[in-house]
Amino acid sequence: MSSIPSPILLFGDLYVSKNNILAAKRKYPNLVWVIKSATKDSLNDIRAVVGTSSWDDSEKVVLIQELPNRKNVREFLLDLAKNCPAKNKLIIWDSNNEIGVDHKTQTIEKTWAEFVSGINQIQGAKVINNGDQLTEKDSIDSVNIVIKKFENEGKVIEPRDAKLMLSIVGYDRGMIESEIKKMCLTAPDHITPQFILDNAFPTSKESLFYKMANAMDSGSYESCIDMVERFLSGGTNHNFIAEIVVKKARWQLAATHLWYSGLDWSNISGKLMEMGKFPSAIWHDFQIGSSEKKVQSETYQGPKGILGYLSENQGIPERIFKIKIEEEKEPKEPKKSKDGKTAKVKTTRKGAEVIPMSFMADQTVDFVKNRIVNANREIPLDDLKERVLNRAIKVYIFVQNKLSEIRYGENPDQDLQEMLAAIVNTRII
Amino acid sequence: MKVCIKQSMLMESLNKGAVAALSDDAQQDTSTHALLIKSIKITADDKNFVVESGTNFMTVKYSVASKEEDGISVKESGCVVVPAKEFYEWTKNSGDSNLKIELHKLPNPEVVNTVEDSETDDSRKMTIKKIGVVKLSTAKKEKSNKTAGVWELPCYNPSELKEIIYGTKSEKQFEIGGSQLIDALSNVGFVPLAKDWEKYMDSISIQVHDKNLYFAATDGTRCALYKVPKDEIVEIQSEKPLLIPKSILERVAKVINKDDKVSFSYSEDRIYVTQPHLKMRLASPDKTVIDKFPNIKLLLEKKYVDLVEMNRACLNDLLIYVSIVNSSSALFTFKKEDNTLIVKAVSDGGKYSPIAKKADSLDLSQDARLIWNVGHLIDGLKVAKSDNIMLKIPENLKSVKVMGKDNENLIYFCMVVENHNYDDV
Repeated sequence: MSSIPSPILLFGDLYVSKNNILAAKRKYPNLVWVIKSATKDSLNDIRAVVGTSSWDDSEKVVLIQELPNRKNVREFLLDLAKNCPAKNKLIIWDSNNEIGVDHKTQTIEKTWAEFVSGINQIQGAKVINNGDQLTEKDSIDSVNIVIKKFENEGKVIEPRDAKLMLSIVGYDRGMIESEIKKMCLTAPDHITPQFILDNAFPTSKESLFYKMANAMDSGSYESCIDMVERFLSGGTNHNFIAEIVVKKARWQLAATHLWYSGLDWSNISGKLMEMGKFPSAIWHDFQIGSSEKKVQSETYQGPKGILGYLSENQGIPERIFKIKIEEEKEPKEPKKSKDGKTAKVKTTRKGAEVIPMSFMADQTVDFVKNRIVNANREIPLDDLKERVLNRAIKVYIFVQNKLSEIRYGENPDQDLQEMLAAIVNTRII
Repeated sequence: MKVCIKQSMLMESLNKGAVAALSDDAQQDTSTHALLIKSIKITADDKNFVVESGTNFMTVKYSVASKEEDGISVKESGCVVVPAKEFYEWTKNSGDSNLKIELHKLPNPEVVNTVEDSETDDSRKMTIKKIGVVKLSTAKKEKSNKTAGVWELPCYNPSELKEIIYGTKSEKQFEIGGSQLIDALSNVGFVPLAKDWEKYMDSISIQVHDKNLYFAATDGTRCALYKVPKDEIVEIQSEKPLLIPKSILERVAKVINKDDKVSFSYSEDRIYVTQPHLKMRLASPDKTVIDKFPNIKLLLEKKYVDLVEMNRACLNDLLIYVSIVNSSSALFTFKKEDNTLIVKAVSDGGKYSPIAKKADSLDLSQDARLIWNVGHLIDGLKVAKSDNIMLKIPENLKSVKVMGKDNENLIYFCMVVENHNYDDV
């Protein structure tokens, strides 16, 4: 007799659960598998299938899936699991994801708790919880999961890159696992952001942005066109891609301007990451250190803070603001983390443009530095600065105009191609 | 090619020779070779009129002699490859008339599809070419109702179809009457699953036991065996078991002539089925799959003792009655003392109250209390032709053997059901 335990209750992530079943099929190739649906098949039929042995004495596994959220079915399955003939094996798979887990307490929701514990109490039973979908709220957990899974495959990934991986692949546990398995077939021992950008399958909303931005930073028009064609054929609209190009041009312009203003290349990337933070006068003050900026800006967050800053520091009369400030709740004490440190105060305004990940700022700076500035070193520095800034402004205005044409024009393919040609063009006049 | 042929004669040829191309396998094919798989090849010369078609699972070749008296007149020898479904529909809708099939070659073949031939190492390109059009015309010559129609279909290059050699090196397995094959299929064909990923529970196994030829089918919990009557077997040359998917065997049964003998041969994972005028090549699963189908010896050599002989209608009546509540299991209580059988069914999920029906005046050989699958027994009774049914049980009571009193060709085994709901009934 095979050593497969019975009954088995499988729930949680569908992909991982499916993998468990496939692994069992591979491990026990001589078992006869019968699949039944607890929703579509009658309970009598399921009982008969589980209660009937094979005439040639071969062992049988009955896989019951599609569990409905019905009390009588739960009771039936529990009874079936308790009375399954020894010769037959029973696997109950919650393929409809009905068994929920409370995120806060990590316990099974009340409706199913009794059923799961009932199965657990059967001698020889095995309950496999493959976990729920990860959420962005659990970002630290998610990052750790990614790191752990790469570790299991013998690869190392930095937390920052694990975060990038999540941004591209999304938070679906099964998708993450399958992507990591696929990537590890060809991955270097130390996973780089470039490898992730090149190989991770984009499923999240943001991934398209990362992939496009990465193609533009490569400076290759062909790569950009190839990427655009892939996205367009996948159903992405022209406008969405054009907005990414404009955003990228804006970052290039910001990076160029910072260099033009005299900032050292090594500081530009950090400065770009401060984009979108309020108040800009504090964040863009070269005299203050970054920790001091944080402290100073904290006072001016929230509607009252913004209003206060604009009226007191900038001298804009309060009367011109038409913001209706609703009764604010008493400001909570900033939460303290386990190690006693105060939690971060968000300084980014809602809707303000920020560069989501620091490697993207690095790539933008690299593009301006290596592909434009270093390629034109023969030009005197002052002249070069003028011309590089001039290029960035022209590119930005051009792509911005093209974005309008895409919105209202008739040849979006052509407009998009021209936008890409402009943004990867490194010539300066 | 230029042929005049009677509609009825062409229809018969297509019903046999085009069966592979008209099957769902072919018509739903989306591979790069789909155009050819969905087509039939018609070859005509002064000797034969041949219709051929093929898929990965089955190829068929049907040939008849080109005789004017049979309604086939070959004016010009040749070969065409035309879309099967369209050609079949045209023939069917042409009514009882004389049909003219004429190939008009294009001066330059047109490439209609270019595919990579993945089987070749150098990945050379294979093209499907349209070499011409087949002009189709009908002429009905009834006195009061003369009609004439014209149509045309593309003709693909016949040389793009691989020549099939029908079993020159194959080892003959057995030869039986065509009607026996049809009977066998109708007797065991109700058992296999519609689809089995392991590929043996949706198939029919042909095995030899004790010099008898058996067709066997199982879904794991029951097994139907059909013993081909000895006088219908021309010869058994090999005891190697064969396994043929039920859906393919059904197609074979559909095209064979029931009055002719049909011969089965085996060679290199292929089964060849031949009759006069008809040749078929069927895909066979590999040996590991064939061996998965249990040896019927396990059942045939097991000792079963008579439990009861019952009128088929009476037993059927009991089963149908209790199936209202549970068609998957029921408790059968045989009481020798008063020669009665009580069938009782209870339902899971609390939907119905228990149901029971009794039959008396039976001649029981022993007491027994068994849970059987009602639906499985009903299925067996449908194909058992006899008026009286014999139920036999083994010593361990784990199964039931169902046989017709006057029909020992069909032997049907069902396993008992373990259902604790009947413990207290």
